[in-house]
Amino acid sequence: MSDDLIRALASALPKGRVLTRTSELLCYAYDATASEARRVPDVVVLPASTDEVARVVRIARGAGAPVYPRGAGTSLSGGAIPAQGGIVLSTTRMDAVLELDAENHCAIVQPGVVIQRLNDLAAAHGLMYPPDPGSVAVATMGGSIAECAGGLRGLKYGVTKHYVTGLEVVLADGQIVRLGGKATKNVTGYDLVGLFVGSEGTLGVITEATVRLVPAPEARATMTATFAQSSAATRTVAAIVAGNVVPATLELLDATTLRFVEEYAHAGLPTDAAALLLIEVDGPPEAVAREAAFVERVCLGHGGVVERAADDEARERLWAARRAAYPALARQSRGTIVEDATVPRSRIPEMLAAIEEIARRHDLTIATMGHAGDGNLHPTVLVDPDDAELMERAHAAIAEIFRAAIDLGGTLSGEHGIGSAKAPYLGWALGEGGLDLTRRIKAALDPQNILNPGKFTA
Amino acid sequence: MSAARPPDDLAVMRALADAVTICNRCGACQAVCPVYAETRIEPGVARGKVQLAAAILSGDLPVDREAAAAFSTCTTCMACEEACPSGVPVVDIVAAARAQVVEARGLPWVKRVVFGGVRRPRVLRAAAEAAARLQDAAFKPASDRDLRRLRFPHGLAARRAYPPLAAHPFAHPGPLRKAGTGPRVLLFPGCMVTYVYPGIGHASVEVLERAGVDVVAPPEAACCGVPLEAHGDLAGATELARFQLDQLEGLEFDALVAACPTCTSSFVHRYPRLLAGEPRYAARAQRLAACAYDITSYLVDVLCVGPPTRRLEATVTYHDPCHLARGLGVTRQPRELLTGIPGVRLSEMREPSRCCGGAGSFSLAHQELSLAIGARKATDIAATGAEVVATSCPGCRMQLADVLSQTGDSRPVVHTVELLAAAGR
Repeated sequence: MSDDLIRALASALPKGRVLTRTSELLCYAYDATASEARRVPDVVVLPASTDEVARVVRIARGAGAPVYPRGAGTSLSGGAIPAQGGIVLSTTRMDAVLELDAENHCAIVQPGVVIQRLNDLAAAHGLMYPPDPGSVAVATMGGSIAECAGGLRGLKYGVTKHYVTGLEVVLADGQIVRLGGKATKNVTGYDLVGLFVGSEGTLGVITEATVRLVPAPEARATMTATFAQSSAATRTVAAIVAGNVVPATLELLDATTLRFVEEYAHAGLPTDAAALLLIEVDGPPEAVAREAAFVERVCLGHGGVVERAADDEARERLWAARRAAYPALARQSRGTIVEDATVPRSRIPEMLAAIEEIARRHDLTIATMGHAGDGNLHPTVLVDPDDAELMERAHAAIAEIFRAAIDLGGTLSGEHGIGSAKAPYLGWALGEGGLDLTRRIKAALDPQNILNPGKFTA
Repeated sequence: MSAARPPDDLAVMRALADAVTICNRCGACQAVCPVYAETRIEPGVARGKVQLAAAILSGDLPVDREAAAAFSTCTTCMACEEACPSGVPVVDIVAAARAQVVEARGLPWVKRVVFGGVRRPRVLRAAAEAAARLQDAAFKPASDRDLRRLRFPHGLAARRAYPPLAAHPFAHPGPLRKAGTGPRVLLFPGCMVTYVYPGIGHASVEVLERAGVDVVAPPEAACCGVPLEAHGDLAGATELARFQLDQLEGLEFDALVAACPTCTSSFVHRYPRLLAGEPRYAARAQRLAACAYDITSYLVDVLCVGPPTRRLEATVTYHDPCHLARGLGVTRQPRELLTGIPGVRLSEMREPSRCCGGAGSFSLAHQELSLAIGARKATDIAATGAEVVATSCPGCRMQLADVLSQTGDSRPVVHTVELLAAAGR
């Protein structure tokens, strides 16, 4: 089957856009998920147009071959891994910004456009595209829409699904459908755009997207606050939000993360602190001044030691601690499993305590940082993929973390998606009814199960 | 994946097995890799190459020509290492993979013949001198600058424009000033300066002597070995490392200085590593590493030279060579030298330390890729409006001259020390 499939693909696409060498296929066997095993595809295709994507999907349908859409391969739940062989469909050649409509505050992009590039173009018009996952410099629009990526600004600006107003999608039968458009209000029929945002490539291949842009804030104020007790930090978060101030960024680094960051970056952080908050408010200058003063008062009132950035250079210095968090953890071990269990904001103290208890019981190092403002934590388990016993403990701990999040009224994933890594736990979050509905939607749109099979819809 | 073959014959790569496993596959390297920017396929980028190295170690990828081809598409610009959150030594891994292929399969015959010559300094000199005499038969002048193109374009080199080989290779006659009061510097010329750009060598001598330095040269203008190591010829590169240490033994100098950052990083980084296990050489390699400098760094950091006297009215833009900026951490010093020249205005280009795509023989082996990477640099240079392009590497100079000529851009490209020398005359 495989040879016929490759021949058909080679005749459907221009020369050089069908990769079949072992050395090429091995490079599409993974994404950024440390816990998931490599799976080598049979072939990689590099379509450059919607029409070429449709041709690939039709050939795949005829052959019953799986199709795995892939952007930059930075997904963190196994979404881009070709779990059952078949075709990896890379969108990196479809990377045109088709239109930047400053008047309507929107842009039309192909799926391979890197998020940061859209932001750079938008900045020239005083606009921005708010979703900013950690991988913003490399992740693609197609991939981040398929995974409904979040980021550091989620508290105030929301996540990817709040910005997608139109999509062009190639369905499992090779049909091309165009959904939504530039209109920001649109209740015409089902929310079909919403159906595909976060669908993780299981329902169709996104070939074009219309996204909202927003005016970039005129001003911002940045500060860090360190606390001797993590409960003081989480109470501070609650008090800030209770005061009806919504910071753009409200990040928490726990004691373990802080210790590693200080070892790595020598940023002058207090190593005896139990938690650090990085807080940024943005908006019109008067509002920023008022909100920053309020936030500072709240931090001080809860015993925080506050450092406020006087200028851009100082802002960079404060952000450096947060930016160093992942590199610092990555250098501590041979692998890191970054989870993103999410709870309602008010339950963060309990969630942090649960994570600490689970780490202790399984004798693991789990460093937690995260978007405290929106309850989206990133407990990061330091692992060694070659140490089977350690990996087993890590997986047991992760399952308990998910259980704890759900028991606290939260969910499995705030922004990384389910993919294959969290698929075993999906029922905990959705229940039988939710699982059944998911499977019925999948069966209706992809009856042959050729789109990203082996993931959460399996 | 199951191991198809027990990896018991992979000594070169096993030494880097730990380095391979620390890659988290986060993909951050995609943002900075000049090769990936052109190919946008995963085998082009560091993450892909590190995973291929893992596949070789696990027995899933045979050590063959295909593997060699996969690891050849890297300019070793080190931008990925700078961006890597986990600190993966990507260039070392790529070098080990290339060496492993040569170890397992031997060198292709062309490389065997060429590298055999490069390993013998006298053969190299004889070949270069013969080629300099014969080059008019093979090359014709390119339109607008001192470059040449093949008369009968074919194969790999068809589109490229080359500077001619020097009719008189750079050869410093020995110390001119015998006063012995100033520091004594061994100027290591390297192949590019010796055979292609002797002017950079003469300018280096001029600025060093003007600063009161006694300049001496090594007995033989031998290759530093990087071109061999880049093709996986570890044995040849190590032999040249020993040759260099042997020929410098007994010479007295306070510092070793080169105008080619790749040569300098050989002394600073490569030789101590290549010779670490050899009792006869290890300590000497360490001693040399401690006194080896890029010429701009030596002039600024050690000699603290003052500005030259003559004015040079020119807007200059500066390209940071990869092996100088990231390899040796030298970016401030050449700029200080340039802006110290009365009348020189520095107009920075976008991403000045982005790889120019030259990367030695990469520019021949991957001509189209090299020109595409270089074309971005040419665009960034043109956008500065500068009249002169300065850089601190003869290899970058050659590539920049070529890629500018591809667009009919006749801006001169010079080494930093050439401007400095001119401003002192």
